[in-house]
Parts: sequence; structure tokens; C-alpha cells
Amino acid sequence: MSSGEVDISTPGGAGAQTRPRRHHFAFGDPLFRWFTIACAATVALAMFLLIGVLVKNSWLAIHVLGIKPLTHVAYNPDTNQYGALSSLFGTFLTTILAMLIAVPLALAIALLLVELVHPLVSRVVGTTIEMLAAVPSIIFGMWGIFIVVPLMQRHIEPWIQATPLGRLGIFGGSPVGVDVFTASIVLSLMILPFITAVSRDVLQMVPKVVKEAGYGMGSTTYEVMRKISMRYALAGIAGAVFLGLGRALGETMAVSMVIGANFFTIPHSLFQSGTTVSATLALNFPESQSKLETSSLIELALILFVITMVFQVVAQLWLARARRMTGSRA
Amino acid sequence: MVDIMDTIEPGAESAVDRPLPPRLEVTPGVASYDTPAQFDALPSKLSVHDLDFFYGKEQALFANDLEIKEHRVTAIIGPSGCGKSTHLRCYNRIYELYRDQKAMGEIAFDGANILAPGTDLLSLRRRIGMIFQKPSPFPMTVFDNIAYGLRMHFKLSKSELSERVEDALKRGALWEEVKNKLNEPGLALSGGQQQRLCIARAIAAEPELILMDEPCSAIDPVGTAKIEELLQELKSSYTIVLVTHNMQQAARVSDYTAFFFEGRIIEFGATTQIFEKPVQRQTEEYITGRFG
Amino acid sequence: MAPRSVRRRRLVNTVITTSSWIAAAIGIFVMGWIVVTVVVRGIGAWNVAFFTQLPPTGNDPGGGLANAIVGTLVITFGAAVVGLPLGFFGAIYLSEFGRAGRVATGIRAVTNIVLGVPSIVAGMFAYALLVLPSHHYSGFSASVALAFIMLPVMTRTAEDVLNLVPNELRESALAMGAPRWRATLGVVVKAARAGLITGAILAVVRVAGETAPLLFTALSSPYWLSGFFGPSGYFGGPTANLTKDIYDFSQQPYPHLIQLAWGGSLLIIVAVLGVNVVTRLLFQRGKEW
Repeated sequence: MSSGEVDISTPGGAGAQTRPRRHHFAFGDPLFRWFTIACAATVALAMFLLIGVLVKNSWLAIHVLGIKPLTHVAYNPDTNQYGALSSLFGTFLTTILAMLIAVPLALAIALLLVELVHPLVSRVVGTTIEMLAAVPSIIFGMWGIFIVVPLMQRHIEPWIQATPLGRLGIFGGSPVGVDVFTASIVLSLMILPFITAVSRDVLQMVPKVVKEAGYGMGSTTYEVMRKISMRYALAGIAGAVFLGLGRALGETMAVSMVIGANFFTIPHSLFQSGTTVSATLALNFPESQSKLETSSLIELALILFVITMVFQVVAQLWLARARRMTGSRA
Repeated sequence: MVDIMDTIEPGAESAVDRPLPPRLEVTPGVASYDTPAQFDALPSKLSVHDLDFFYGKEQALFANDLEIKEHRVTAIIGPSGCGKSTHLRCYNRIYELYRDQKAMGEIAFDGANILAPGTDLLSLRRRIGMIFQKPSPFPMTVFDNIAYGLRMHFKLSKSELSERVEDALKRGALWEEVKNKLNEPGLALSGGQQQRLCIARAIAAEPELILMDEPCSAIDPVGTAKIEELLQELKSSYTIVLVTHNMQQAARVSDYTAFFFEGRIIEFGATTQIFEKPVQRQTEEYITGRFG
Repeated sequence: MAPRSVRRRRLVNTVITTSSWIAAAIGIFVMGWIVVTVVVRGIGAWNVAFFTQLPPTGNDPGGGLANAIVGTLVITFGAAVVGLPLGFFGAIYLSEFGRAGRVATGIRAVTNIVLGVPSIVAGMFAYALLVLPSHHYSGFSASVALAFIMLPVMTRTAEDVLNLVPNELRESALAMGAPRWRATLGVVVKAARAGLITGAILAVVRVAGETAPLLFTALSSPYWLSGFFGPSGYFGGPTANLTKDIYDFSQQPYPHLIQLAWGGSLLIIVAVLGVNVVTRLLFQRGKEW
């Protein structure tokens, strides 16, 4: 046989000297598959372990206190008070306020990034704001307590009280700086980058032709965004808002450092100190003496977990439904 | 700011109210419709003088001159990449959405240069409608799609709005097919229907000039035939410029044809003349399929 | 038909677009403000002592956060050793084997839920699981809490990256007779290498900056980390770490300690932002994001 022909009678052609290789690791694939499933399943294991451990350790508190935490305001173990309402109220209030600030800001920034500036500028600005998402909570806390709080207490809050707004009850009381207002603002800055990034991504996916059709009909930039782009983007943005909500609910360090640790009352004014579930947890834990107290704190952690889990589940369901309706992978 | 609304004659509120031009004479055996004298006498809806266009540093259009006559269908043909769509998109300045695209020269719309800096783009784009190659219904119901332009540019009562929507759909030859589907999403219609929806949507806002950028290339033959039929009806009320890579379509549907090649207008004339007795060699080569 | 006012529509448009500019300015300004504050206040704390000595007591001058830096590195490493591989292989399952199956969908749902668990709850988890039964705090329990956080992050990121690898690549490898595990590990993973490394680095860095999980697990310590099982050991007792020290010192009335807190903050910001910027520059050239 000439050197140019390939001999196919022996596997590997005429050049092969050895016997054909067998796949000696024949059970390699099923093993691999099971290994990877096991790894993937650890997250489920972790979650069940989490729930189990939290429930087990809050059992004491649940048993002894019953429904009392959900009906009482003050948390003061020294005087045998274990109310969670002050914490729950603060969590919801700061979260809602933070969202009210962050969502419009995020949409405005996303509009700019997608429609108003040169793509290069959009990337630079977008990246800068995404970097804000990488800043750890403790840094926000440091900045919050040493810079923002004095600023609020000495300048901004008195200024607000000097305007007609000051007559409103929610801006009353003597400004302390470490209050719900400051905490909400810091919190809003922490969730802003995430919502902005998702909004921008979703808005960028609106098909160009449809936007051109809108502009072609004589619409302004705002009209195209509001009447056309938002219809594509709404589902994705709503999902981002839900997820942002989830994060805001669980945010601990920065909030703890600027909210004022008022575990005892529900604040009447934004300029009063308050607390959140995570702040109560973080601030009371080092002092925790008795088993009951520890257990009640773990119960608070459990409550927080349940709340954030509900939001996660609702967000996932919403997003899945929205994806089905628009057929997109937003 | 030059308000382009100032160029509308008083009393002529909308395109459908305007006086019709003299009817085209079709004399069997004669190679053109309008005689040259008639052509010159017809008002030009759009007059292009010395139009240059740049994508960044690269020039795409070179000294284009064109007269688009009222109530006529003008077709723009040429091989792909020759600048047909680029040229068309200058008419409503839609290219301005993209930073590195630039047009220079003069485009006189009813006498006023729309490339001038002070032009009111919002009004311009109401008076010029555009249909794109890919049907692009807005993500809304059929009704809301048609009502989009109406709601944006005019103050109408609910009943007036419904009337106008129905009217636009009838003029767009779509009413019979969608009259029971007004509240369904526009995207639920077939491709050909979506494109007619886009046409009806453009008409609803009472434009005077309609630009069509290869409107049938994404549509099946049946849908295409319906749209071509529609074009003949629309001609009496609007001026139409049609970019197409389908020569037969241009021959079927248009009154005048401009042949583009590599960013330049090689020849412009009555459609029958272009297709039967082209003057330029390049035109003839394209028509006979020697390149494309 | 009566025309609507073009002027009014333009005005609304101008108001909104102006707000957009203002909003973006606010975002950038805040970012700059935070960075500048930390740099200005923290740079003064950076001296040799800061990086080599134990923290001072009370109002004594000098000292540093050296043990805390070591502690953070060790704790984070401990978390990465568990979180990264599990996340990586779990993502391989989700991407290669379980694109649409019920098991995979369930695991993805759980991953999303765990992703949303607040970090303080993760800390409580490790506390209840390890600290309570063993009656002592430890760096190890902190690593467990951080691994709990890192795992779903790594899984999600890795899955996204693996999904981007075109199917043709997989098919080519399999068509050459490679067994599944070889095709995946040898070809697909290699193709996704850049994204996987980026994802891993970002997951580690994110977790390194956490504070809440360490509140109940590692606490902090004025001593060096020494050994595994002694009172200052990784498994045996509280372990000094940067974030908890920053938190503690920030609440002390001594300016010197507060200065150390800023120094620690600067270190964290430099590490976190530095790594973020570098990985994006290196690994995402040409990618649209």
C-alpha cells in the first residue's frame, strides 16, 4: 500500500502501533453525573439545614413567648419584653422609603444610559454605578455614621424642618441624625446600583426597529421610553424591584450603624431613631445573656428569613410568568 | 425655530382634504405617464439637492438630487448596499438616533429645508410616515397601535378616536380582518397583517408623505400582493417613496423610479421608461439582471 | 382635529431628561464621595505597624490590624475551599445535564432562595449549627457562614458562564468520541475559563467584605491566629478579622481606634474595588455588558 493511502483495517490507520484504546473509565460518566448532582444538591441541603437549625433553636422562644413578639412593640430582655413589632415596623418602613427613592433614580439613570449618552460614556457611567454595588455594607456604615449622620443632624434635617415640610408630623422632633431618615437614604444608595443595572440591561434589549418606529412617528425620547420601551422592560424591572426589596429587607451593617438602636418604640417621625429586624439582631446579640434571649433572637432571624424567602419566591414566580408572556429571556 | 407647520397652506387641515393633482394620462404605446411638461408642472413634495451622507468618516451618499412628486409613487431601486435605505432615512432624519451618522445638503419638504438646524422634528415626523422592512407593531393592542399617533399628536374625544382608528384601518385595508380583534396584541397578527397594521398606524396620524423601506421583503407573497394593492389606493391621498430590491415590484407599483448605485443616483425617470428604455448602461445592466 | 401642544410635550421631555442627568450625577457623586472619604481618612492609618502589629488596647498609640488581615484571609480561604468547588460542579450539573429537568429546576429555585438569604441569617445559621453545640466561637464557623453565602453566588455565575459556551463546541467534543466528563472538563470548561475565574474571584471578594456573618461566629480577637484547635485556633476560638474589627473600633470613643477602623476600611475598599476593576478590564474586553 502506498504511503498516501490510509489503512482503515487497523483502528488508527497504518501509523497506529498499539492496540485500540478502550474507554476503561466506562463508569466515568455516570459517576461524573452523580458527583455533580451531589454538589448541586448541597445548596438544598444547606437550606434545609438552615431552616431546621433555626426552628430548633427558636423553639424555646416560640414555646415561651408564643405570639407575643408579633403583638408587642418593645424589645428589652432586661425587662422581659420580647416584642418584634418595633423591628418589623422599622424594616418595612426603611425598605419602602429606600425603594421610593431608589427606583425612580434607577429608572432615570437607566434612561440616560440607554438613550441619552454616547455608548462609551454609558459604559463608564454604568460601570461607576455598578462599582457602588460592590462596596461592602460596613463601608457604607462607616461613611454613614461619620459623614452622613452629622450632616443630617446639623444641616439637612434642621433645614427640612425650616421649610413648610417641617410642619408635617413625620418631620418633627429634634433631629438626631441617627434615625429612620438617614437609614433609608443610605439603604436606597445601596440598592440603587442593582436596580439600575437590571433596568439598563432590560431596556437595551428593546428591538431597535420598534424604537425607530416610535421616533419615526414624532415621539420624544421620553414618550418612546414610557409608551414603548417600558412595555418590554416592565417585567424585568419589576423583578429587579422585588429582588432589590429582598436585599433591602436583609441589609444589616449600614442600617445598624445609622438607625439609632431604638428597640423600644415605634418612631413617630422620620427624624427619630428606630430599628430593623437585622439591626435588632446585630445590636442585641453581643449582650445576649439568657437562653431565652438568644432563642428570641434566633426567632427574629427565622422571621427575617421567612420574609425574605417569601419575597424571593414571589419575585421568581413573577419573573417566570413574565418571561412566558413576552417570550423573552429578560 | 422654523416651525414646519407654517408651510401648510391655511385651510388644508389634513392630507385627505388636499386638492388632487391632475390624473395621470395613460396613453397605450407611449413610454411615459406624465409628459415632461406635466412632470415639471407637478408640485414636488420633496426636493433633494446635493445630499451627502456619512457613516463616521465613510461617505455613503454622493451628491444625490431627486424630485419626489406629490401623489405619485416613487421607487428607489438598486443592488444591496447601494444606499437606497440610507437615502430614504434622510427624509425623516431618523438617522440622527445614531451618533456617527451625518447628512449634508438640502432636502426641501414643501419648500422648507428639513436638514436645517432649527427644524421641528416632532412635527416633521408626524407629516412623514415610515414603514420598516421588519413589521414593527408596538407591544400593545391593535387599537392602541393605531391610536398611538392620534393620541400623541391630537386632542380627541373617545368616540372621535374610535372613528379615526376605524377609518385608518379601513384605509389600510385591514379593518375587515381585525375589527373583532381590536383588543388583541398587535404582535398576534400574521406578518402581512402586522405590516398593514404599521401602514394603518402611520396613516392614522395624517401624514403627507409615506416612506417605505422594503416593506414586503419579510412578507409572504399573498401578503405582498395585498400591500401592493393597497399602495395603489393610497397613492391618491398620499405621496409615497418606496425602496425595494424587487424590480418587478417597482415596475408593478411605481410611477417613477430612481436607480441607485454605490451611493449615487444613476438614473431617474418614469418607471416605464426606466424599465423599457433605460438611458444609462448601468441601469440597463441592473434591470437585465447582469448584476444585483 | 385639534393638535396637541408640541411645546408641552417637549417640555415634559426636557424635564425628564434633565432629571436623568441629575440622577446619574447623584450616583457618581455618592460613589466618589465614599471613595474619597475612605481614602482621605484611612490613608493616615497605613504605616508599617498597621500591617504588622496587633491592635492596641484602649487609648494606646501604635498597633495595627495585622492579625485581622490574616484572619480575614484565612476565613475567606476556608470558605472558598468549600464554596467554589461545590458551586462550580453544581453549575456543571445545571448547565450540562439539567437544562430543563425537574431536579435541575428545583435546585435552581433553591439556589435563588439561598441567594436571597440575608447574610446575618447565614451567620445565625453557622452560630446555631456550630457555635452553640460546641460552646465556642471559631473562625471555622465563620467560614461555614461565608461558604453558605458564596455557594449560590458561584453556582449562578458559573452556570451563566457555562451556558454561554456554544453548543457546537460540546457537540464537536462528543462527536470525537470523548466521554461526557472529558468533553465537559476538557473542552467546555476550558472555553469558559475566563468567565469562571472572574466569577470565582468576584464571589470571593464579595464574601470577604461581609461583616454580619462574622458577628456571631468568629467574633474577633486581639491575638494572632495560632494553630487549629487551641483557644486562638481556627477551630478553637474567636478569630480576628478585618470587618468585625472595623465595626468594633468604629464604636469606640478613642480616635486612634477609629483611625484604625478607617485604615481597615481603606484596605477593604482597595481590595474589593481594585479586584472588581481589574477583573472586568482583564476578562471582559469585547464583551457587551
